[in-house]
Amino acid sequence: MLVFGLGLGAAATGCVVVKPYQRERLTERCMSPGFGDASELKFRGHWEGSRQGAEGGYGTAGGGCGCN
Amino acid sequence: MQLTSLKQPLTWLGFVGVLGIFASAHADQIPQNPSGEVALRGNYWRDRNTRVVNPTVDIRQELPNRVGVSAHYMLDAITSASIAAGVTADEPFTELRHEAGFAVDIPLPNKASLSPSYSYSTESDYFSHNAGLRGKFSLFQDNTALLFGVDYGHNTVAKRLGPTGYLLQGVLQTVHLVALATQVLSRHMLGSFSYEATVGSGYMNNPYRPVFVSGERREVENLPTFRHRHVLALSLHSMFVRDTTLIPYVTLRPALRLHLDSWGLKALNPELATYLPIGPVELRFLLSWYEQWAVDFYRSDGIKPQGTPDSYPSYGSAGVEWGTKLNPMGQEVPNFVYTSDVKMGEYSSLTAELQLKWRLSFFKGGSPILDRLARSVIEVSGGMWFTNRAVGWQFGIPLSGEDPSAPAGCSKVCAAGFAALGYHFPL
Repeated sequence: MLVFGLGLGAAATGCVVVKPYQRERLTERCMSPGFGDASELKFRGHWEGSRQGAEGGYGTAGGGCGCN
Repeated sequence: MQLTSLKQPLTWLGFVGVLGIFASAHADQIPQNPSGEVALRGNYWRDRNTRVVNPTVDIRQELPNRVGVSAHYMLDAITSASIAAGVTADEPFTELRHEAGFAVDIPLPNKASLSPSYSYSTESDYFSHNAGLRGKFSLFQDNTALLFGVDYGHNTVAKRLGPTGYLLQGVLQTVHLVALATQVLSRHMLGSFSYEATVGSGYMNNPYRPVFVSGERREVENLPTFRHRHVLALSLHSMFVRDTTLIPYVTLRPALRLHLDSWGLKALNPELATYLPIGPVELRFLLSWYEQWAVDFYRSDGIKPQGTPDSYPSYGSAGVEWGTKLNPMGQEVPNFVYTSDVKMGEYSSLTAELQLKWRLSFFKGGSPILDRLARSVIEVSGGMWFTNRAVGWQFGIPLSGEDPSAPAGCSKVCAAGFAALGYHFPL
């Protein structure tokens, strides 16, 4: 499914070049790549790390424990 | 009675008033602050036996030479009364963790950049250094962004002995690698794909976590000393533009994460975030489903502490054979691992969160200071984490008054809650 998604994405983007002046909507905060602000993700990663067996997937490294 | 009958019309009046403010407002979206900002945030988490209060400060500023600097500080105030926290009865105690760090973003030719970072975390029984390096590259007129990163973590794990003393248990070293690609797909759509690998080597036990093995209570779990984890993440930001001034667009952000690791743990995490701007306010509703399959050495076939559910971890045998180890005489013998960590088992959870961001644009037009205040943003959010099986029993707050496991645990509808209050001020 992932490979299919990637392939579809690659095919869809093949010739698409969006010019800088066409990116007005992409500057909105909700269109920032990623899953939220740094401090928000840090806290989400923190409670997920101490309540889930798996963690990560937000592009950031963990640090410290705060879980004992 | 009179008070209740008064409250209802007042609530409705307030609701209509708020609607009126939104209706009279023009669309005023929340842009990013590219030159820098200060973000103050207070996070809160509450489950059945732990409460976390977590204030943070994040500062980011781009200097005139385009070098970006950022720093953060956070305080974790963790009040806990769980067995895993080293307490055998209801004796809540509060532990403080401090974390501080900084990063520098150095611009390179062709819109690339290099970003070294460092952070340090300290608490009474866990000390952690983390150093990282990120490289960012921009291609095809900024339509494609690539990020590669590596982090090294050095963690010292100890066990508390009284209010000030501790006994060293071991060292855990981690290496984290990340590769991330973001592609602009259209004027209103972008997609991201990332792969992360984390290799951990060393002491991974929780020194306060006892386990029932062959009918006997062992004071500390025994986990393998090596683990590699892998996460694939795929996400799409898609904005649907509408021809109205009040709600000019709706943005959907579906995402999928797939977790695999060398202990046999597998997890799937689809989620959907919906962004809805209404006047100066942006609402975000997040739904996230998490499905996990247990690690290979998770068992629940032994004698369990009284009152615990069937899925609670325990071992009828000596544990699960996992490689070999050297005994005190230097001979190689089988290594048996065991844990009572419920989050290593099979379970699922659902997270639902509502976030509100409000740009204070009503300050606009008074003076330069007020204009700056007008670009600041207040953030309020709250959510619930619903979960089941042993994880739900241990961490979930019973939401049903007829739950037979309460107050020892939860067996019906189990949940934890979290909230945050934040303020973003542009620099």
